[in-house]
Amino acid sequence: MPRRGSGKKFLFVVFLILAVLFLMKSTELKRVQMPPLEGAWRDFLAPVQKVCVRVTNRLENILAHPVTLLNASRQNEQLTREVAELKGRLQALEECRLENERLKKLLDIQTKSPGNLKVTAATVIGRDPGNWFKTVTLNKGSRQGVEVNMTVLVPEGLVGRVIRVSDNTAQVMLITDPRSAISSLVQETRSPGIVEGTADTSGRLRMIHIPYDVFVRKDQTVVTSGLGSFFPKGIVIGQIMEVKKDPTGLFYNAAIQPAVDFNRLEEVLVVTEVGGGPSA
Amino acid sequence: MRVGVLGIFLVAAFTQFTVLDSVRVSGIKPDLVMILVIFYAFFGGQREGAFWGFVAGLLLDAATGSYFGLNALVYMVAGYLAGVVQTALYKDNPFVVSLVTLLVCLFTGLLHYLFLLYLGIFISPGVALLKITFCGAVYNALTALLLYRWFFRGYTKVYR
Repeated sequence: MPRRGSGKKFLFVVFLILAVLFLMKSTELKRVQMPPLEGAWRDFLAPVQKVCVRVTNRLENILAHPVTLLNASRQNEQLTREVAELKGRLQALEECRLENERLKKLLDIQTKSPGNLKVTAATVIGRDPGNWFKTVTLNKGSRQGVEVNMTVLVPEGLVGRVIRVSDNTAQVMLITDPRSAISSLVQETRSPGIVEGTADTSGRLRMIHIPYDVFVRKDQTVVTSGLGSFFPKGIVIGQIMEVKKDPTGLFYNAAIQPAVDFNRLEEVLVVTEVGGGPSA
Repeated sequence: MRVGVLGIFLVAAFTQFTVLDSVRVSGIKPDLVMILVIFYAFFGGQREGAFWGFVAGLLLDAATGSYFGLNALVYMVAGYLAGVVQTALYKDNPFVVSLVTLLVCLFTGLLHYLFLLYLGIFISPGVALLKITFCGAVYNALTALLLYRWFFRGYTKVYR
């Protein structure tokens, strides 16, 4: 015979299950309206919940603060290191990009030069210590095939000529050096002349002995004539900035702005062969 | 001690050949070796000044390779002159040293120009005397003004 107590328990469990099933049904997502009791309960709980959450958060923050600080400090250290490293890499890449651009330009000279020039690239490693002469030292010398009087140029134009070589270095006299004189031509009028270095701090050159019969004017280009000098024909020297009559009245003199920025020389080309023969 | 001074001049000459080109103002750069020669002459007197001037000039001549002795002579004169005038002047005033640097550089610039003429190198007097000599001397004087305190401290620490 079943006991009375266990029947009541069974009924209670059934009731509980039914109640939960009803609750589940009544709180499904489709409903829009919240029942009044539930609404009241939620409204009552809301401020309490808010306080609880706030206190919990505050407590969590307080307890976790040292750990967060430590982590932040570590993270900061790591990020600073990473930023420094990335900055260094970026700079190195930028330097590579610029070097690549310069070298590409240098290569263009060899492929586009009309005189079939054979060249070797060299880096400027030193400059004249004083203000009187204008020379640079290159990192290539006789071992690399560089000889005295070879022409040195960059894509923009003529740089100078080699005046001294050691096994692994070469000294180049720039065209701005007061000892330099180059047989040259005004490209447009074919007027010949001599371009001299002046040692002027502005870096300008002077073209002398320009015949009086053809008028030369500002902005015309001056190139090497290739006559009686070490330089191949047709290399750009610079542009005429100013033309004056020679004191004798027989010639023009012109101030020339060099095509090359000599303060920013980094890589140059040494012409080792011109049209199949040695340059020097 | 002299080996140390020689080392300092070597470093200065190396700097002159490489780094100093980046501090050009209107195409003129300071002459660090000349400034050092004047500084040493200012403390050591004319004999010491002339000696270090000659040695420093030889270093530059050996590196440039042309007109061997030109710099040696000019720097020797600079050292001698600075050594002569230092006896009557206060050594701890950078402005005095700067003024001496200016005057010595003006004189040696003129001397350099005359030597170049002697060697057959003609530079227009306007460029040589005004732009290279005068502007160079002013730049050297200003650089001396900046560097002297540092040199003064170092020198007195080592020698006294």
